[in-house]
Amino acid sequence: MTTRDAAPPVGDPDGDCFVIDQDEETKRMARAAKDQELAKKVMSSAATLVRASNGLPKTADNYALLRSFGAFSELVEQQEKRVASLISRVLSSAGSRVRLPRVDRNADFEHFYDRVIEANDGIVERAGIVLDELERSRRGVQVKVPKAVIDAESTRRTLSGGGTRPAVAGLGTRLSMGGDTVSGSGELHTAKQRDQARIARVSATIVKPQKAFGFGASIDNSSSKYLPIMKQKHHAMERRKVEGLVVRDEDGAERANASAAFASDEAVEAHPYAYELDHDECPEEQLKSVEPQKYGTMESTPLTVVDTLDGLKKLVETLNKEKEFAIDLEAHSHRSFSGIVCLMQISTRSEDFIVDPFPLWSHMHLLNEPFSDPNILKVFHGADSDVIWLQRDFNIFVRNIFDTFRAMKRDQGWTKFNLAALVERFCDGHQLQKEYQLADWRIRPKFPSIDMPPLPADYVSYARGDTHFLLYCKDMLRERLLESGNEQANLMRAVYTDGVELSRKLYEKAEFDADGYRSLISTRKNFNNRQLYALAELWRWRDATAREEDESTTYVLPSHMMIHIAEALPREMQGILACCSPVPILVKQHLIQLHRIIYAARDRPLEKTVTLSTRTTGTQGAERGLFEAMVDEANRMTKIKSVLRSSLDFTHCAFNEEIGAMIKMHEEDKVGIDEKPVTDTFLSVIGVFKVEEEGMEEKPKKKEKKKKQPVAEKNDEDSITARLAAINTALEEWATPYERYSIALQESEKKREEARIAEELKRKERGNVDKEGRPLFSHHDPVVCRKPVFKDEAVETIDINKRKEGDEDGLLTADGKGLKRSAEGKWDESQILTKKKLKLMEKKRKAAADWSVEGPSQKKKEKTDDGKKKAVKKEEPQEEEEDGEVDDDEEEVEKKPFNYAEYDPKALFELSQDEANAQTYSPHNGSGRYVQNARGRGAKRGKHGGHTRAVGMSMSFGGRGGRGGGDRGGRGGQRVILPPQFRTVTTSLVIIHSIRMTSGQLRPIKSDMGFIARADGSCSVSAGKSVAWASVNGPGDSHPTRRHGDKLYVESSYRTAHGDAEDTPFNSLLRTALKHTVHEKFFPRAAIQVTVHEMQLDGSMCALALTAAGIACLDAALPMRAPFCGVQKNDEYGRFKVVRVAGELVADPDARMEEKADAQFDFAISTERQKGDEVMDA
Amino acid sequence: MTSDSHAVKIVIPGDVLYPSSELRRPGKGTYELHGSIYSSLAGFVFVKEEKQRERTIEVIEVRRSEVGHDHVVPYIGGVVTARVTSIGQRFAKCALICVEETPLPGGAEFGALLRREDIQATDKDKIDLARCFSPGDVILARVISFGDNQTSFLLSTAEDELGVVSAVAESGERMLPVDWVNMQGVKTGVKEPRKVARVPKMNQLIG
Repeated sequence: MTTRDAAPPVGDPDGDCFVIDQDEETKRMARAAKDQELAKKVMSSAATLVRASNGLPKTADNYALLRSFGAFSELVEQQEKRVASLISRVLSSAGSRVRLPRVDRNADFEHFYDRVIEANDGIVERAGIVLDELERSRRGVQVKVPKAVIDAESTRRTLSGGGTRPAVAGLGTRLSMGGDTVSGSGELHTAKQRDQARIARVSATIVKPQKAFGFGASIDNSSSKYLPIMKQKHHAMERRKVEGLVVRDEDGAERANASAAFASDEAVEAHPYAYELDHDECPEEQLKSVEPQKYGTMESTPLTVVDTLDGLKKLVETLNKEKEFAIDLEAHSHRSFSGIVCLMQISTRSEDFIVDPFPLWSHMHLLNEPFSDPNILKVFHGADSDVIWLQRDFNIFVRNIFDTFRAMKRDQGWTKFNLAALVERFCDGHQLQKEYQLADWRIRPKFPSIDMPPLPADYVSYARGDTHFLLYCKDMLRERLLESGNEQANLMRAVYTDGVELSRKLYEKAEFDADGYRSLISTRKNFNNRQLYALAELWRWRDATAREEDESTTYVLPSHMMIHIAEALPREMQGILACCSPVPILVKQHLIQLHRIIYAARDRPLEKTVTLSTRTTGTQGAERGLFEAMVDEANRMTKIKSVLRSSLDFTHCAFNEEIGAMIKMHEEDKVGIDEKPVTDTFLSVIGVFKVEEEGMEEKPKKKEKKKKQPVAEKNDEDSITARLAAINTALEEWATPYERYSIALQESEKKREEARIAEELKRKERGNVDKEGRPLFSHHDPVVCRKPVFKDEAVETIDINKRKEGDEDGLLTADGKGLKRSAEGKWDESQILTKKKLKLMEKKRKAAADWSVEGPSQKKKEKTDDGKKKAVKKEEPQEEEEDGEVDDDEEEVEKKPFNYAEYDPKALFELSQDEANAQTYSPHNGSGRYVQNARGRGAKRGKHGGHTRAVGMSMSFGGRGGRGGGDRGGRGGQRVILPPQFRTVTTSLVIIHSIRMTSGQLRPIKSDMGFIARADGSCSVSAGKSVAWASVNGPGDSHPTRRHGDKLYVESSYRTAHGDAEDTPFNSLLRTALKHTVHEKFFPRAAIQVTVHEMQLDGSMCALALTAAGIACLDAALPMRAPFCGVQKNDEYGRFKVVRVAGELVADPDARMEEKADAQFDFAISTERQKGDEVMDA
Repeated sequence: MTSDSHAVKIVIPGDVLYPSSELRRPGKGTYELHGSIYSSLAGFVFVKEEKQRERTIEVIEVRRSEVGHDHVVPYIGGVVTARVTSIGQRFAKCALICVEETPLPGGAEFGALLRREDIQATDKDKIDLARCFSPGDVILARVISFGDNQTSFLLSTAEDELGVVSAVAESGERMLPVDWVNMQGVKTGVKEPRKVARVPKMNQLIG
């Protein structure tokens, strides 16, 4: 904390500079010493303060308790006020005023606290600033402290990648970017930077040399192919004429006067010197080892600047006489579409030349003569682009190249392959200045009409340096390669071959790639179709504009800006401008065009991209049980599920008259739904239906079943039924383990609830006096007489005097086997007894049996006690052990030895009072302790108390057990009327029947359900003499090898009359049918077994088998989407077979007829009545 | 569908029952498809009322008979009744008898595994499996996993209310629970250790 005494240092308030004065010095020293002392004092008092405040009682350690005492709280409040006022005084003296908080308002204190922290921060900040000033002033540096803490946004242009590069290295790029102003950020202290800034300014305003020198016209940016225009082909090699070559055409005519194109078998090549390069050979002198000739110094070597035609011609003459010379080019690519060569540097052994191509653009081709001379060695470093540039701009083709870069690659011991490394190694460590590599080389040394500063000296020396040393380096490399090579100078030859390869390169114009924009956004951003369109159009516009204006695409519109615009799709023109910073000039000029593009893009309709969305699985009503929730979830319709391939699925039709009609019917016909139907067998009720054509009688069957009212028809059945009913009820009263479990669960739930409520109550009672909810302490309470709580009058009170041995606390009962009644009411054993005593009690308890071995009569007296005790226990809301708990008093009852001779099952079990009276257990008037709601846990409890019978005892299922006991006639005599669905099959048979056929050809179909008791479902179908049986079991567990994950597995076995058939078409048909109709997802990891037996063969077996299987599935109550049946299929179209036997048409032929048939006619039938020839899939 | 004097609605799979609406829910034996409730079983149509958040919803069910015999498959999280068939060192093999309240058909018995570490929630490594179960015990357990191709369902009795419900002693007599870890034969009084389920005794016959 600073005090008022601490003064800011003497001197300039800005801290700019520091005036040193002797007098002031001593005064300052004295003050400093005093300050230090003061600071020390402050520190020590602060330490004491901290220690003292740590000693105050905190909330954790009984602050609440202390606070409850009046004196303490008064003291605390006083001190609070004092401390707060002290703090605010101190802070106000430090410059920030803080309002005193009111003691009794917590919010105020928080606010106060925050303000204190703020004030502290402010003080520390100011101290920091002052300290900085002091530091600086001590160092004595003339530094201008910026007025504002944050600088205004610097106008220094950032590069396209974002961020500013340091001045020196970035200047080149800055300079070469052209366009808007280059900032003067005011920190250009060095002369170099000033120079560069000046140049940058100049280059920004430079006139394009293409325009200035007029060679822009010769630059062709169109998309036509590049054709080298050579006025004169220097050093052309004589082409060998191919003699005696006759060209024969396809049409056989000989062409004696073959055109030049056919004269030779050599193709016309784009490269003018292709033929020559093919036949060039390395001159032998180049492979010889010669002493390297050292270069002259820069000063001693004359430098000639060639910018006139005469100078050029002289240069050509000079070069023609040389044996070798070094070349380098400087090019500029920003303000030109394909790039222009700005400078050419040539060095011979004795001279350096700098050729300015701008004034000599159209005459540069003269240099082709020395360049294409195969006897003159041209030395480059990294000729890959140089060769191309020469071709592009000047139509100069180079032959006989030595590329020092390639040579370095073939040599050993180089890590870096640039010119600087080469020169450094060989030329006494001469460092080439490489900053100018990226500089703008368009600035001219001399301008005829425009006043231009001369090319700076360093530019010139840099340019010279590129070629000056090259010849010597070439010599050195040659020596090295000859040394390390073999006798044939393989390495040198390789370098020569590299050179030939370089010479072959042909310039190709950059073609416009309409899809090139895709690579811009490939790695990132997902553009929608609008944005993509905009980007494509911008890309096209950019390319077209660049070609037209002869600027590079980066100059026209940098890629990142283009992407930004395409992404943003700004609505107004300003938006486009806003996306670019800085705005390229051409964008400004063509703003309207761009805006039109963006507008068109925005207008395009947005195409949605398809995403796969996963539905969240919600369980509606988890109280209904997990399985039902699963069922519901599976029932819910999804888009994928809706594509069912079953032909019985009508979803693909817009309207189906059958279903439509059904719906209507259902709406009106709600009769009979709500009544609980009879619990007859399925078939007994199905006998209701009549099918007139078949002429079957109905025979309602009354099977032996559990009924409420005995059937009045047959008397002898009456008593049997009644007896069965009695047995059933007796059996039904057995509570399954699961029911017991659910009851136990409910009980524990209830107990937990009650415990919670009790807890709440207790808490409320405990501390609710204080209106703020602060805990009360007992010394506040008025003296209260609390009576002990006893629930039972007839309870022993704890008598301290009558203590038993081992029972100091007087808690155990007389025999020491359990807690006393009173104790039991409040405490659990484990809570009050020591471990030793617990063990003791355990032992004693286990020694005694749980129940007494007397008969029920003897225990009447104790029973009452037990009953009462049990009643007592019931009311107490405690975690209780149930019947496992030992009742101490039982021990005292006299035991009668058990008589094993007479077996009375009830003798062994305790019965409660009610039970003893009632002798029958019924959950409704039971012990009263358990939940009377028989509808636990979503169980559907019907009339019978809802107990589910075990399997073997079930009598109510579709004809299984009950039917077995009844008087069923033979199978043959029973006829079942088919439900309407099957009617369609039969009716379609009838249709065919009516089509001009001999009558009576259709065999009657009969079927029977549920005749196999063991199976879940069974059916037999017969058509004439063909009979098939089917039985279905399941779903059950599947064999481990055949578990198919979470779908149903169908095991089908088809037993023919002659043996088992594993792999019949029936199996696949059945599987398909089941796959389409059964809800597979309901039965994960389960399997269905279908077994079909062919009993009698007489044709149409497969269909019958399928039908049998289908009805058996119905009988087995498998959840299905629709029933299925089989139709005799003769081929994959499911056509009905009609054969012609002896001139007559027979439908549904049997085996005999099939054999004797003359011909087969196929018919197809379907359920839809309108169209008679559609295929119905089975 | 024609209805006759019995006035009962009989349906077969694929029959349309009702158009679906907010107040109707497809229950057992039915499914919902494109705006209608279809039946998936051959049987009778039952309509039940169900209260759900201040409104009654009809539940449409199709059942073979009053007391439905649903085909159930054990599902994860459900409480099942199983019979222990064999005991090993690390696990006990069981055969499932019922799934919640529905007995499984006797023909296809699902097999399940009860691992040693799933018997109790605490002290998992100090358990001796032979002192918790014995072949022939009927237990209440919870299915915790389907298991893979080799193993069958995995069960767990790591709750108070799960465990042995009824057991037979070595001598062949019935046993009754004495406390949570012991059962005692009714005739001989021999105690055997079991992991007893904390369920109330409700049956006078067997327990």
